Amino acid sequence: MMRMVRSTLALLLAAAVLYGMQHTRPLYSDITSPIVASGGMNKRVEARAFALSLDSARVARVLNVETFGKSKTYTSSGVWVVVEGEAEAKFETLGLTSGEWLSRSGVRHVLTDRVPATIGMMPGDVYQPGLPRRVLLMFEVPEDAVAGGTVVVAPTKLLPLDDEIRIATNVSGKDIEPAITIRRTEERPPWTVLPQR
Amino acid sequence: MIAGLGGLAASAISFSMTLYEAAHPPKAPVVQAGQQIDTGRWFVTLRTARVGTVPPTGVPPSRPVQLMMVDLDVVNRSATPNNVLHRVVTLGSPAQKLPMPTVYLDRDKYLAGYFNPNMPERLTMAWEWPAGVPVPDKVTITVTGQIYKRRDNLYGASGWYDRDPVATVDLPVEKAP
Repeated sequence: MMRMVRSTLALLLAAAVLYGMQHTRPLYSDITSPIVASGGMNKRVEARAFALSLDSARVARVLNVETFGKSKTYTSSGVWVVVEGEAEAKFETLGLTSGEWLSRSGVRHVLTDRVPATIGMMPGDVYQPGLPRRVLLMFEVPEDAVAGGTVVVAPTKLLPLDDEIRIATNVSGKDIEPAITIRRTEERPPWTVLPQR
Repeated sequence: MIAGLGGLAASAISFSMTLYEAAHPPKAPVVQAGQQIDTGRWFVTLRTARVGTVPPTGVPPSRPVQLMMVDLDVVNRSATPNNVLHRVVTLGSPAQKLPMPTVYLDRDKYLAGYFNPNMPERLTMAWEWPAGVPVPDKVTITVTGQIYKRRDNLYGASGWYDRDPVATVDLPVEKAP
């Protein structure tokens, strides 16, 4: 009799401990989250495998894309954010395939996939160690997600505990241009953002 | 001994529950076209259905096919971009399994990619209609709900999980020339 009570108590205790652990331990996504290096605009932010600096972030209602003599206008229910900067691999060649706009409220917006690949956005390029390269990122976000947004860049979204750089932008969300044109050029970098400013 | 019996009982209960649910599928409410449906992760508003041979890009496919095209509005209400709409909006008929639909963004008249949170978009989903199956006068669209689990039962990871259908919508099929 005593033994049954004891084992029942032990079982209940074990269940309680497991329940408590389930609800107090960090989430799986937190345990396997990327290792973040953060910074601000116009600063070189260093992660383990690559470095990134952003020097321009512009917001527009309409995006015009001109590539190989073709021009297309991209409208949006929100606004377009066009970000430029420079990325460099540190030790080995890598791609930067994941770019996200993290709004102040924690909502993520992925790099646009509407713009043709002939405009060399960040994921399409390869970054060599010691050869810094200009990067172009374009996001489509609701207007209220612009102010205080952060650009999040990682070599891949799939590997846990990989590098990630977060750069807080300085866009206010007030200064919205009516239209921005991205034109493909034959120079380096292979794009120009118009009107120039 | 007790643990073995308990396990046996648990699997018996779960198996019979699955059997019961399969035998008594939950009845989803019928919703009118043009009415917004809340699936948990998405707001979906089904508009019209039509059958034709030219997809919204305006470029007919090299091999002529009939396409069942459904126009709808969606808003992604979750905190991350997503593009898995084909599990949310499914075509009820015909009885045979249809290939995965292609999703076109109305704004670009081109293939749609990710849908960013809180950005309403109008789109067209196009299913390839099997040759030899007569096109009905109306199709039934089933809209499946999804729930967010902060910790799933396997890893304790957060994610969205498919649930029961939340609505069915009957759409008359317009026959384009």
